[in-house]
Amino acid sequence: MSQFALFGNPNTGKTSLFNNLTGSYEYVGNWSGVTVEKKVGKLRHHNGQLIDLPGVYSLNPLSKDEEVVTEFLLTDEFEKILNIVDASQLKRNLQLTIQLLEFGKPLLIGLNMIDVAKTRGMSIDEKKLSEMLGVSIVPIIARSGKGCDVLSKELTINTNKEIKPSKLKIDYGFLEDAIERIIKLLPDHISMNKRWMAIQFLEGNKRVEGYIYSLKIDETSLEQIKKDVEGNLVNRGVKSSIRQYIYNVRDQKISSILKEVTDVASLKKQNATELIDRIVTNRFLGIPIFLLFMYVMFMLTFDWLGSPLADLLDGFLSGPVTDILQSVLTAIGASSFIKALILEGIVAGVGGVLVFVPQIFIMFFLISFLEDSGYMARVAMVMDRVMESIGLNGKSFIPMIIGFGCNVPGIMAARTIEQPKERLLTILLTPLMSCSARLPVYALFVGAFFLKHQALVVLSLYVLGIVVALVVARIFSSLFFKGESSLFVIELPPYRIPQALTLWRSTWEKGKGFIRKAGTFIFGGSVLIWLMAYAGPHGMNVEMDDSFLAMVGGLLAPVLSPLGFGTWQAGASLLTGFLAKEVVVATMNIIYHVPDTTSLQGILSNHYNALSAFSFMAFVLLYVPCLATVATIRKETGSTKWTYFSIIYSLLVAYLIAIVIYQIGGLFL
Amino acid sequence: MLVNIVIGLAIFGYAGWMLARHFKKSTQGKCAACSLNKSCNTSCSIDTQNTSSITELK
Repeated sequence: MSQFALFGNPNTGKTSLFNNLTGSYEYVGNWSGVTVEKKVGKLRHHNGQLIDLPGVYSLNPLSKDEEVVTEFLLTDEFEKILNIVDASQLKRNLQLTIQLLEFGKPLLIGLNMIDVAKTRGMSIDEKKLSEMLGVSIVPIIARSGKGCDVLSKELTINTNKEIKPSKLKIDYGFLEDAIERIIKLLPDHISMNKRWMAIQFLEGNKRVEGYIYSLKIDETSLEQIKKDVEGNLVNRGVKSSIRQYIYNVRDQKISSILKEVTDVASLKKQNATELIDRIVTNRFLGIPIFLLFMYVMFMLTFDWLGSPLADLLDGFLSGPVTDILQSVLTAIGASSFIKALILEGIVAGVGGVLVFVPQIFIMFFLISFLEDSGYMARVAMVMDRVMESIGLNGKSFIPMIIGFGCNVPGIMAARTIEQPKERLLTILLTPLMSCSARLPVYALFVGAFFLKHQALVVLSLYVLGIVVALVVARIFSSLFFKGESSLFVIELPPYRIPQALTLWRSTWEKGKGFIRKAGTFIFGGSVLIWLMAYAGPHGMNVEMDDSFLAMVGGLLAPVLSPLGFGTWQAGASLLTGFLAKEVVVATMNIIYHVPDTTSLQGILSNHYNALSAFSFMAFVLLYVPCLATVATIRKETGSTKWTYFSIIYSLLVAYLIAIVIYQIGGLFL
Repeated sequence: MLVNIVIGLAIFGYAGWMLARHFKKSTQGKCAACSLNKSCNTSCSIDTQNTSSITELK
């Protein structure tokens, strides 16, 4: 049975085309990396099999997915290559096409998304492109299936297993000599295209390199050729590596082809996405724009929308709800113990956290908006430049952005990073991102001490988390993770206005966990904390200062004193906060047992001032990751050593930052 | 009196159960500890092929 292999860049509609041609129902995703391993399907109208391979930008493997593709070319038998090319991203897609042409197997191009290209004002002369590349091209719209029948027919005619050199031969200039030298070293019996192997070897394709070495060729001669080329590059004043040089030569060739086949006049018409990208991903404006978006987000979350709504909810919980509960408890003859447990324990603890639900939902809504609009992918790109200077890249920023919602999925998302050391570093840094569970703590304190600058103070804490992560990354990468790096490639989706239903669903999915947690764990935690505050070594219903909670919290108070909050209350809140950061607020509500958030904020001003409040918030932001995060770090790194390391280093960093804020800040205030 | 015992038992029983459950789930780490585990279809479904490689750094 004839076998055909489907190659293409990620997100070009490869899986859609596969399903169309084979009639099988493979899972179709709309983000990069849906095809993790190769899949095989039977062609619908013809006798043959189609193999769907993971989407790759180049044959040179950077990740395990990409390795599958090179491995396939080296070891598997197949008749023809079906290369799906995104017509709207022709320049980038042809990089892979050229490498496949160099491989030398018969090749057919499915030119997909011609509709998208047209709406962008791009017209492509397919006949001319076909002539210049020396292969057949069939325009298709894989999503709707248009043109797929023609493609299928074209695919199954004229199949032959003989490998022919490609008609398109790129002149690699002074590399040609090295290519010839490598070809001469390769044994005659191999069926692979020797020129392709030589170019891939020079490009640094590790899989091809391994294959060539397995042929028992003199390794030193091969290495010498590579060294000669590198020396030649330096002599010619070329600053790039061999890989970059080859990329540039191909890029020039592609540009000259595109000049011939695309309508240049219409190309000049910029679409909205490109125009926005020019501004938001600008080298100098990118980061200030990101900060501005965050500032507006916090203004909406705190000043403009969130706080008034939270006040309404607070009034409702501390007013009617408490009154009704009180009368019900009196009516059924509840004892003072049960009354205190429910009103001072559960209502104070759970209610104290629930009042921040409006703010949490507003923030999640805005984050979902930025994600769905396509802006978040740009943030990773903007941050790539900064991240590169600290030994990481923009890919590591994606788990960190996810970490703004909850650190656990952030750490899980680090799995997409191929380079083990970069992945470990990202796992260690993600807990420094301010997750939504810290938000109630900020909301409580900014409401009490920074009423006029709520958004600005919260923004400063988020930025503090990012800056500390960058500094720590710089230190760690120079101490433990020297000299290893990977490339960052990200698919930038076109901007779109998010749909209301999708936005609501995504907000609800993120936010419902917070409400669920309030009804389950925060409830349990509140009861336990209340009991510890109610009981002491001298019996029940003791003065709070003589309770078990005061005893435990008091152990930490002297250590916390230099940070500006050396009270047993702060110690107890921080200790319980390890279980989940929202509990810090629940504990404070129970300790100070006040009827509503406003009164709590009033009481807090007796124990804190603006400076110690900021120092406390910074400490809550940075000190040990919560229990769930710690356990996830343990599971994801598979290392107890790194888990303890993540706890200890964050504690030290938090202590250092808080002491600097309080002690140095005190000199100026 | 009976009302107080019933309410007390119910509250402490539920609270204890919730605490134990949270502790158990949190210490499991990964998806069990994740607040998005019911709706997430990305990270958790990614094959753990990279997980093994990180253990080399121990």
